[in-house]
Amino acid sequence: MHTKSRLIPILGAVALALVAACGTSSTGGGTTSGGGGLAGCTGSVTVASDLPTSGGDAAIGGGTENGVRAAVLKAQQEKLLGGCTINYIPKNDASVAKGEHDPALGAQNMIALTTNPAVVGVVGPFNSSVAIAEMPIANRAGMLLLSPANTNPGLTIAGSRPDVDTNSLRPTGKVTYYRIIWNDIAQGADDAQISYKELNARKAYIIDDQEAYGKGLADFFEKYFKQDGGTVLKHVALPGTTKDFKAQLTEAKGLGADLLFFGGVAANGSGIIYCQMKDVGLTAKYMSGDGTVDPQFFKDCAGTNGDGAYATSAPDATKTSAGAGFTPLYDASFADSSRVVYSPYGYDAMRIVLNAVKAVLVDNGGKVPTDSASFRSKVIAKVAATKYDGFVGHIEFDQNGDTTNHAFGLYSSKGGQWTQSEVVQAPPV
Amino acid sequence: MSLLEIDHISKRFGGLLAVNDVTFDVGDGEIVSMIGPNGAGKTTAFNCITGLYPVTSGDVRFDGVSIVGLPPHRITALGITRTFQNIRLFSFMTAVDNVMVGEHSRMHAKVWDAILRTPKARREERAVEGHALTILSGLGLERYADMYARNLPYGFQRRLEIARALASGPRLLLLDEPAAGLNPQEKNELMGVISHLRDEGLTIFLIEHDMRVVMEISDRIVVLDYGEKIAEGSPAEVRNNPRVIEAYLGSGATTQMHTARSTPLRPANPADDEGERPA
Amino acid sequence: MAQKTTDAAAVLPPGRQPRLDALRLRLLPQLTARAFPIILVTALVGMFLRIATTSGGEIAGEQLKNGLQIGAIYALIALGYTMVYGIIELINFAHGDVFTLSAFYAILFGQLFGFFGLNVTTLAPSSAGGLIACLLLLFPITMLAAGITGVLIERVAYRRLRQSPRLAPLITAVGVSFLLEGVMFAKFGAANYPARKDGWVHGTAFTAGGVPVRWNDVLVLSTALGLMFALQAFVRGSRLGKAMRATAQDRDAALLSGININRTIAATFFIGSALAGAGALVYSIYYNSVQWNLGFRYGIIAFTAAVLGGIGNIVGAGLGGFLIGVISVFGSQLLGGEWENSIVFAMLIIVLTFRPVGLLGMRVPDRA
Ligand SMILES: Nc1ncnc2c1ncn2[C@@H]1O[C@H](COP(=O)(O)OP(=O)(O)OP(=O)(O)O)[C@@H](O)[C@H]1O
Ligand SMILES: [Mg+2]
Repeated sequence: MHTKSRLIPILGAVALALVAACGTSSTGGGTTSGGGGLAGCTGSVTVASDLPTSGGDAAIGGGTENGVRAAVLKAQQEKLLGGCTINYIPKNDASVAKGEHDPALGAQNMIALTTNPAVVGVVGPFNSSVAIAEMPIANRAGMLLLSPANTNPGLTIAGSRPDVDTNSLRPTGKVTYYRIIWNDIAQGADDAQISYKELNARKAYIIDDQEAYGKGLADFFEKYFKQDGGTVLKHVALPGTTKDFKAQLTEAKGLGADLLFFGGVAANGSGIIYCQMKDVGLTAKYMSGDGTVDPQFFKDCAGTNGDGAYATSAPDATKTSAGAGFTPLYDASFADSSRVVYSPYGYDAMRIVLNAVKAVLVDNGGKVPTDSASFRSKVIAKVAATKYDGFVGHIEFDQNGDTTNHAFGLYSSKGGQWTQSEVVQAPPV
Repeated sequence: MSLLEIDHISKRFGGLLAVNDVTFDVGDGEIVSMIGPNGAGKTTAFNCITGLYPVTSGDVRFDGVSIVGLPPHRITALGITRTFQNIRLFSFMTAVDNVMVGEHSRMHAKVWDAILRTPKARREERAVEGHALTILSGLGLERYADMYARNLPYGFQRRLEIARALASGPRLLLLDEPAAGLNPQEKNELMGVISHLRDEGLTIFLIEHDMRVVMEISDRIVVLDYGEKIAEGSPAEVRNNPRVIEAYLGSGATTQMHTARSTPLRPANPADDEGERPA
Repeated sequence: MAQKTTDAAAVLPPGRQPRLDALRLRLLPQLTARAFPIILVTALVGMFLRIATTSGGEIAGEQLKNGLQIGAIYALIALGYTMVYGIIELINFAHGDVFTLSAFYAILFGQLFGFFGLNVTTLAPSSAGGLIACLLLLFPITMLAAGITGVLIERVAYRRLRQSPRLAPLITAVGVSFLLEGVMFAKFGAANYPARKDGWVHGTAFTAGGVPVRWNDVLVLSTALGLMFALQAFVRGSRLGKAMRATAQDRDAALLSGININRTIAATFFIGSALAGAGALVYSIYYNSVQWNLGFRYGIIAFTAAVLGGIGNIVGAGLGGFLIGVISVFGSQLLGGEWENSIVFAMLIIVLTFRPVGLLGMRVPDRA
């Protein structure tokens, strides 16, 4: 492990140096074009990110931030903005007090970034709860917020979630928040479609963990599974402290369920439920969302008992043709072991921001706009018009700021690991 | 020779001096009674002797050794046991179990033996049970052995208290109003039991309001009033002591005290009697 | 009691009041005392039949088994609550966390054997003999460690407060609970901690009336029943058991009968915690993971079980545990799983309102 982690960046760096020396343009970075028309650009442009990079979120948030850094490094190397330099401010929204992502700290970070006139756009945040705290601040300041990972539909679609007041997140009425990952409406629809069409399930028993994410996902699953023609036998919401699901699973067996859907995170029972299904002799298929694609699943349901469950999550872009080039790019600067599924999302998010900045500079005659407010609003306008082929696939945004790309990875459990078996395009919702 | 020496003991409850500088002895093999009006501090003196209350000052010696400050179960193990003014049996245990609890301090099996129920512990329990039954039949309680204490007739509950007190093999027996609530026939039987115990070598120190009982069986009498010892001597001496007469007349007629103490319907639940519990 | 009634009658104006009073004082408690168990049993049978008609008799049977199995764990925890309450009238809020901590002990001891070259993880499932050997090893040491934990808590946190007003030890108990949870959180993390006892006990033991009973269920149920009977025999028959009962009934009289109260109370904590330890061991085998905050929920449910059975009553705690287990499982099928906690706490309120002494009463012969 050690030799590998030290070798790979070196090899990567050598490879990159060779690529650069040969003068070939790299792939997967979207449109790459020297500094086209920006050779005379002077001054600097500042971009930022806000992700949880310490505490309990260190691994997932840190790996995402590395993707963002890789995009900045790449743009600097290829002189994306010509003569203008790119400054990058990384912010961490994981607080010591909470030991993980903290909406209060996210809001503080956002105030610091919006009051810094140099900053023109921010990649982040990672967690939907942090987004709720940050979005109104960024919106009032007319600042772009581009999330690589938020999936709560309420952030963008008014009325989609009872617990989120979408309009209050956009006090100016303008859309300033975008995301390049699907939301849970799409995930619920996707899970329903896979369950119905691929797993041939007709009678589903749904359990959720009573939390915003889990309940939301389960509700959307229920809606679309019924739309697809399936029957929902029962939908129960159990607190995260529940450790014994046998009463429900026995009931599901009695009702003749052929699918058990769990809306929730692994810490709240994904693996426990799966193992207890076998205990009570419930032979239904098991389907869940991205909260289940977590090593914790195998701590709760180890060995061969854990084999055979299904769950959707962000597709592993590195296993697709579009994303094939990401791993060497990432490994050139960072240890491969730090790479997470969200790293290419971090990369693409920052690249979209930088592409938009570049377009604004070109429109402005190759100069950095002096008025911060108009610079920010022009960047947002360019992002809204994005047509970008990144590592995670083709990205365009709808009028709410959601990506039109609904690609999911379908993962299955085997040998103590989640393995992506296919990438599925969710139905339009 | 004195078995129990009370040496200038005082007990204060806040502003109240319940026992005030009291000194007297109880000789080996004697029957000594303590009398006095209600609230004189008699029970408090018992509580100080048995270690239930710490004394405020003074010393208590048993067999020449100071027992002040020892925990009650150690004092019991040394050879002092007592009964209570209001019956305090373990009401939800059988009579024989009550006595077996009294033998606790004489058992040697360790807690571990008890938890693991080693053969040693079992053997000891069997022996103790045999001994308990002997004590019960000595007091005419054998037919109540397997009955819950609360279901015994009142007079027999009083006796069972004595049986429990005897179980640890004491040298000094403290009886707090043993005749309270008994009918004349039962009182006679009680006096018989007390004399018999003395004949077997026990020393007896009792609190009693019934003057007939006190005058008949006591070798000596100690009189308390408002926490102070006001007289001490033979029954005849005490009966004629003007201070004693005054104390009793001042607080009401002696006969009145008899009746006040004769209510047979004592609550079986010890929690109803707050005064006896340490605060 | 008779005295009180006549007194009350004397001060009241003549008329219907005394009769009403008699009704309130005598008839009503008697009625609820008789009616409560009957209503409870009727409700359980009704729930069972309802499940049987909607989902079939086998599912109803399986749910009954599920309820008894989880109830067995509640019962083992409830015994500790009831014993401690019986002897010092303290609701030991930390008891649920002693249970959780003991589950971690069970896991760590399993790992420790590995340290001595004895691999419990692979030894146990390999054969019935290996499993029995492991259980014979793990039961005593887990129970011992759990018991010592209970004794330490009593010694450090409660003993000094024995003469204080009731509230003081109660608040201390809540404090100890937070402390234990904090320690477990810091040491073992927020997530479920794997017990690594996969497949230790597996397979179906027998099928009763179409209901498959797994060896896992057998282990949990027989542990609970066995320990409950052993405890009952112990408290009735042994010297220490008598000392506990005596102390519970009248502490001063016990003191003056030569009982060492401190040691007796410590022994009560030891036994109560050791039983929770046994419950924790079978829990860790059955559920295969443990979480730092498990004790909060299990503790409160087990406490409810103790109250239902009659707090201070050993047989009552066992019975209450099984009943609460079955009620919660039946209730969550019939009303939906989200109601499980509400059902349990509604039960607590109903018992406290209509039958505060519980099913078997607080002051019965076997109280300890
Ligand atoms: N624990 C206590 N706290 C405060 N005061 C107490 C306590 N115990 C006894 N007293 C008080 O001390 C005084 C002596 O009480 P004690 O019970 O010793 O009297 P007694 O001589 O036994 O009376 P009686 O004949 O009524 O039994 C009384 O005024 C009583 O109220
Ligand atoms: Mg008295």
